[in-house]
Amino acid sequence: MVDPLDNLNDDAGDAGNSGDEALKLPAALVAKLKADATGGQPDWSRVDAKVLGAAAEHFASDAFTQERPVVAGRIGQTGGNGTGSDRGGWRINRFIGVAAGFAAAAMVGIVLWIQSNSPRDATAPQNRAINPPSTHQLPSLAALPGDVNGDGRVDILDAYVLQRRLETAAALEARWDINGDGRVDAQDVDAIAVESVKLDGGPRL
Amino acid sequence: MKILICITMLMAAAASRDLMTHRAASAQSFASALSDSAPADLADARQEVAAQRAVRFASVDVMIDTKDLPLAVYQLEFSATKEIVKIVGIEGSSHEAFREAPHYDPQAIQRERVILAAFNTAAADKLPRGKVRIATIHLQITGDVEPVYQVNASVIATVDGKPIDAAVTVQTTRAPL
Repeated sequence: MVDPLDNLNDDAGDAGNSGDEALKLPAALVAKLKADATGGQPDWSRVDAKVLGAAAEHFASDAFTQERPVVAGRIGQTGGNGTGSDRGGWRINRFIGVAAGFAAAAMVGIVLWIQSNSPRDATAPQNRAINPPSTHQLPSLAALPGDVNGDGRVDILDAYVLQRRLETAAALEARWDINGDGRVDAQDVDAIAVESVKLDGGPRL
Repeated sequence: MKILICITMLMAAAASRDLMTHRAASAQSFASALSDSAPADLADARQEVAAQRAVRFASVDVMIDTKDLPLAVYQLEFSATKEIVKIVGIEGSSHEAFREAPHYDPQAIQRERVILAAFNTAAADKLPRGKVRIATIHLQITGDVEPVYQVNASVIATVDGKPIDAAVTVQTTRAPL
């Protein structure tokens, strides 16, 4: 294998022969480069030993092993140089931060629970605004048009009751006008009877 | 060469004659087998198919037993075995108060389920008491399987619409036509 440094003077000499004096390297520089390139290799074992010694000295120092009391002033301070005490403080800070988060969540939950279980004052303006009184009521079962006896369903018994009301001249309700002809009569009785025997879907009154 | 060709043709003719004879014998034996067994098997199959497709008519009486209370209003649902029963007609009661056919959905005809309902606002002494045939349902039944009938009453009440505890049953009173 040819060392390129061996050709420095030769190349310089060739360049000089060609008339390009500016490319000729000084002899001292060539000697220095050769000395650096071919000089003794570093003693890696000594380098390793030195690094290990420095590390051991560092970790054995009091600054690393001493447990200093945590004071309020340490919270949030990192020190910037990453020492062992700073890492311990960071762990404590992290623990305190997590605990504070849990505490805040618990407080929010408690407040929401209290609000949801507190008796509402219907007269309070804010409650009226949130829960305005309903303006429409769900229809009761008795409000079914053909449910004359008010038992929540339409069957032949409603037709029977309505027929008896017609025969006895009892009071009639407008909602019993099933066929919508403006009056309650025997045709409405028949309509209820017909609907009560419907096979598919049952009464649709 | 000619002799060889003649011998080959004779052998082929003999073989084809044997084959034809064998086929004829096989066909004759198959035909005889058919003639021996087919009539009985076919008859049974025909009878079975005819029985499956047999259509008959029956009538089912719906009975209500109110014991000693007058019956003023009723509503019940009758159903029979699906696929083999079709309702073809509905008839009123034997009692004068419910002589007319009850209310029912016309769509129940040709189906196996019907809701019957009727009422009478007459005086209690003109209403049926005890066990009475309240309606008769005419059915078309396919096949020889005996249908299963079911009846559920939703309303049985006496005068003034007061409900009463009554027994509701069905019974086939007429033989298949």
